[in-house]
Amino acid sequence: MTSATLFSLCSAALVGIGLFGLLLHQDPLRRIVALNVLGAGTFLLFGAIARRGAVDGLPSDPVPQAMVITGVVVAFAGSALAVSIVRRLAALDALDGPDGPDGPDAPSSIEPSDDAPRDASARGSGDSDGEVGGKSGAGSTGVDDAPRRGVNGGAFDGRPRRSSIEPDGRASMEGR
Amino acid sequence: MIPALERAVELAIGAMLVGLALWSVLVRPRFASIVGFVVFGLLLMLAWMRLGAPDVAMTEGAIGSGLAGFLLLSAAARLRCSEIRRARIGAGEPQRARDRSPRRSSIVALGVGCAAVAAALAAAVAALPHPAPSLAPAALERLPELGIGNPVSGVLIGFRALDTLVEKIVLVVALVGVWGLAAEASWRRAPSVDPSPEIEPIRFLARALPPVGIVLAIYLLWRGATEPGGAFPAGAILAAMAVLVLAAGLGRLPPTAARSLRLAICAGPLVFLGVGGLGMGVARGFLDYPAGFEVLSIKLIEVLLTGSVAVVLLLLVAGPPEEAASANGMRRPEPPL
Repeated sequence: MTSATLFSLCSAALVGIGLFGLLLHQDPLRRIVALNVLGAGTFLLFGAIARRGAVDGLPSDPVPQAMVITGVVVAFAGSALAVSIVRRLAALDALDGPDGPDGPDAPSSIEPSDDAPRDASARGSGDSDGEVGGKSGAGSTGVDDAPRRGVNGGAFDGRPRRSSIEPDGRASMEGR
Repeated sequence: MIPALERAVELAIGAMLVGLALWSVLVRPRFASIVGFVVFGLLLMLAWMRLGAPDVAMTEGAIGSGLAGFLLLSAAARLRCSEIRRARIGAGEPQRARDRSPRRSSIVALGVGCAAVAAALAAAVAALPHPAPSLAPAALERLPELGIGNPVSGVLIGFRALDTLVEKIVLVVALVGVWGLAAEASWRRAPSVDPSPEIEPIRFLARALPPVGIVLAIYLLWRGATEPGGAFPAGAILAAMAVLVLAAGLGRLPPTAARSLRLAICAGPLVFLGVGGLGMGVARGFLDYPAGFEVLSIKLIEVLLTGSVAVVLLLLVAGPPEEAASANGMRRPEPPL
């Protein structure tokens, strides 16, 4: 068995494993890892095929190699974009918690447009949020820009709480 | 090396690759999975060396394992923080329930299906034509025209320059996409790399390694013309050094609105486009280098590309600007110097 055959069989297995992980997991980060395994298998298959194209003076066909180098970089860019989306989604999810029905600042009766209590909490708790609270207050007459303000006002709301949680998160991670 | 020993080493590498892939896909904790993936990427370097592709091995090690590993680990850390927070306020429970894995029968069906895909791929590989088609003779034959000796660099920057150019543009587009995910409040502010919790060793490494890394990157860039190396590994190593310095809290990134930063991102692709466009006037077409100036054009493009690749990779790792997180994160770990 040549090394090309061996690694092409290996890459076929990697593609299968990566595909399995991609379809199995619901955690987006695990999916990104699985997608990278799938990609690595694909690249390795290409590399094994390049190895079969070896000639005198070259251990491997340079054209597939160059394409794999390009592919590795593009795959990384894709992963970075995916990770950023996951992080953003997690940040928005985290905002839903305290500002939603379970939140400490939320009033007992939830209005359909919940930007009014949000503004109130931003103004009330804000040491650094005064400017933002004022801005959203000024815009609160317009109903149509409520979703936008929901995201941004929330991002500012989340700041102090986030900083208070981070040391705990880090500490528990080190403990693992 | 003795052929039997070579075969044994390759078998061991292949077996460990499959084992680590299984580990990083199946193991339960996220961190274990990502660490498994990083080791997988390092082993993949050995596989690429055995396949006679040192250029790919370097790129895979620096980008596929190193930078991607850092990216995933810091994302996992952030996700964990927000999950702890959700759990504390009691909002995490429905999420937990939804994340519960599917039924056993469907997992088995999924496994069988994926094994079938792998088997079909293996069968397709076994059915590849003999002798294998190869572009290596054509590349070797025309390589002297470019004036460089490394056939992989020749393909990247010469024969398939269009691929490389478009890839550079894809990198910039991906960065635009990442920045576009910034919350409106932090838009145009500075992105940041998550500082390490174990600050002292990282600080030492961040002071000791970058000089070596910078020299190594320049060396790889220069040798890339004749030996394995080139713009990609050099740029990736520079980006890794910058990530190290940022993770140690010894520096910070400029805001995304900074004109110099945007210029550094675009310089490589723009010069590539410019030199390529020049080819339409003074040579035989787009991306054809003017006769007699091939080496000069290629060096110019490679040097600027290395810088742009390094900056873009670093910014992709840093992610969208998050003013709140960066302000806290940068302030907290700084002990008195």
